[in-house]
Amino acid sequence: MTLVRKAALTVVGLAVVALGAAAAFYLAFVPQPYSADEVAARGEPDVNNGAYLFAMAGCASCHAEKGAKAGDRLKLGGGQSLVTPFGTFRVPNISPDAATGIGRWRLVDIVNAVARGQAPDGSPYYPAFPYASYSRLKLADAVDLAAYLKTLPAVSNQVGAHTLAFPFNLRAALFGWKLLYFNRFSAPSEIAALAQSPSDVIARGRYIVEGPGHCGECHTPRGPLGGPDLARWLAGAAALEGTGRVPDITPEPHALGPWSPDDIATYLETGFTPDGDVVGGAMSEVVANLSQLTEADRRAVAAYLKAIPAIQPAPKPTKP
Amino acid sequence: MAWTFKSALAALLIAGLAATAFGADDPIKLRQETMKAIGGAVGSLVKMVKGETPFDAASAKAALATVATKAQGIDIASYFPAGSDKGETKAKATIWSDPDGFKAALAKLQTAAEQQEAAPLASIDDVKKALGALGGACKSCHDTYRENKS
Repeated sequence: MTLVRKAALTVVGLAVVALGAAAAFYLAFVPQPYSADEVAARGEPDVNNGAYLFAMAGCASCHAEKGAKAGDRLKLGGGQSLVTPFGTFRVPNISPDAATGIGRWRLVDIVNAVARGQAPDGSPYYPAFPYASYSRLKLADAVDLAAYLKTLPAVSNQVGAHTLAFPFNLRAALFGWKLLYFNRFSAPSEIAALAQSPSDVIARGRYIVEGPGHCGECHTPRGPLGGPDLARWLAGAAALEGTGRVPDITPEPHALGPWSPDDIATYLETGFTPDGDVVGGAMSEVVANLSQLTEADRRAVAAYLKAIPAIQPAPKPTKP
Repeated sequence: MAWTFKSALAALLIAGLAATAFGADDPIKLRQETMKAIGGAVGSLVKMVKGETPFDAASAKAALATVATKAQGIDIASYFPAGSDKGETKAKATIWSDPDGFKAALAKLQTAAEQQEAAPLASIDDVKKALGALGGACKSCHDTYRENKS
């Protein structure tokens, strides 16, 4: 054996070890897909609960046509473009159309797409789809939501591919993203401790905000690779689309500090702020969805938002 | 000494006058004050609907009248002149790139405000209805023509 061959073998050997270690980490730390048996164990899905989760998770805001109203919000043919610093994402068709939608998917495929960020062929989704938050869905809720999606009208609409900048166009890199950030769109430990709190209301609010409601996806700032800055949980961020800012919603004096829980619940139902301002922009869609929840659930969201640590918003970026 | 004092006084006066003139003509300030007035009136109705203040037909009417008057007073040429998208403002560039759409959105608010001012106001349910109508008009405009900044 020559020295060159020996060196080459060592390099290959090290690469295999590194890959193996990465794979082991991936399996250990990234939530793994549900099995068909786990999904079947749910029994007969409750599609009414699925419809409720559909509103809570805001699926229609991206997957229906932009600005769709009433019944058109149930036509999930996709096609909206999300223009972000990473590139342009094209929202897929998730209507039960067999050719262009997800008509051929099994229930477990939909559950794993939503709650595990994994396509039926095993490839990972881009986190523009907020599955890091949806991974917190209780399995029963995820199954009900999946079953509800299957009851919606089929829309025939072939959606084009994303156009993303390098290196974001490398889908394999998403395994790395999931390894780094999946399961992290959740508040830091002091907030996690709230779930242990005696107040069921706060725990329910936490489930809605951190799970299906996916509030942190926009209200928590992200690093350059799209991972959340947990030290600034819900403390406001640059908008992912366009040039605006997403506000701080912690109990900080300049944020929701002066708002009573009642003010927050009213805002989520009607879009009116305590000072008579009215919601606009992307949050308008959120209000359209959350207005369909029960009063108790809106109050739970309010209770959670009043309970988390107050964080000052980041200083405004200076103008160039 | 006397000269310095006089010129300082004059400078102050000129600065003061300039500030007043600028304030009156500054469309951004004009817009913000109008929005604040409308918000204040709407906010008082929201308080009533939430039960934080008791239902009072007279003050609800007065609030609706404020909204109607302020909304009627918005004249696009003086409130949103070209170039007034620069500065500390949430006005979005779409106002100037889509003037017809913006004009229609403003007309929607003016019509809604006028209708609600004229509508009968006998109970808290009527306040709710009025708020719903106004809120819809506010929202559809904010969705497209206001930047989210905080």
